[in-house]
Amino acid sequence: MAQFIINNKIRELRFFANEMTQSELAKQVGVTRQTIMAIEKGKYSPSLEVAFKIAQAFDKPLHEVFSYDLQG
Amino acid sequence: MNLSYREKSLWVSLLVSLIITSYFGNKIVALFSEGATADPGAVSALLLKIIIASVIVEVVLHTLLAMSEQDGANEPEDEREKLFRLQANEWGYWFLAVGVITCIVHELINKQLTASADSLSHSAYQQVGFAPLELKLVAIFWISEIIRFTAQLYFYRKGE
Repeated sequence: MAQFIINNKIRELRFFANEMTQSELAKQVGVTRQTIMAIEKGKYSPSLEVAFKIAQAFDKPLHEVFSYDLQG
Repeated sequence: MNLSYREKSLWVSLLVSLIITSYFGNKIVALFSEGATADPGAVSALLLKIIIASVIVEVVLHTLLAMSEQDGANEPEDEREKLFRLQANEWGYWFLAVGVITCIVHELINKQLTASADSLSHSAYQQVGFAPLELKLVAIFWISEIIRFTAQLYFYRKGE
């Protein structure tokens, strides 16, 4: 059975957003810096609400921040 | 090591539980190793010392932690932390439920056996200091708390 994983471009988008720090993003979104770190590393899948807030922080649509890809 | 405020708080709680209870735990075991005539007052006093010591040390350490990290202390729990807490609670409370039920069943069976035994062993059972069932329940509660803290810390570490 095909395995899908959630990927994201948060690190890249932070860099292009005036090198936004994880703390700054975390404050905007309303989570801890460690949660943002875990999301970037793919260790934690955020809720829909948090995902939308992250996308909003970068002023990007959701699919430009997160993607649902076939693993491997 | 990248620790959030809540993770540091958990480490404090876990270490306080382990250190203080280990320190006093030896004394409790020693009371019962003398036989089934442990003084109930002595055991009660020891348990009270454990509780008071734990509360005081936890309050002091958590206050110092909150003072050193005021931002973290004021932040509400986020969704990931809440998820970890709920999952860890499930582990801890499962152990608590199974432990308590096992203890009660064991106690009921014991009472049935001693009631039907000769009067001497029955009175010896009655003389056991701070009734072992209560002490076992306290120990089970303590272990379930350790499981809860450890499980949360495991999720925090695994989640990074």
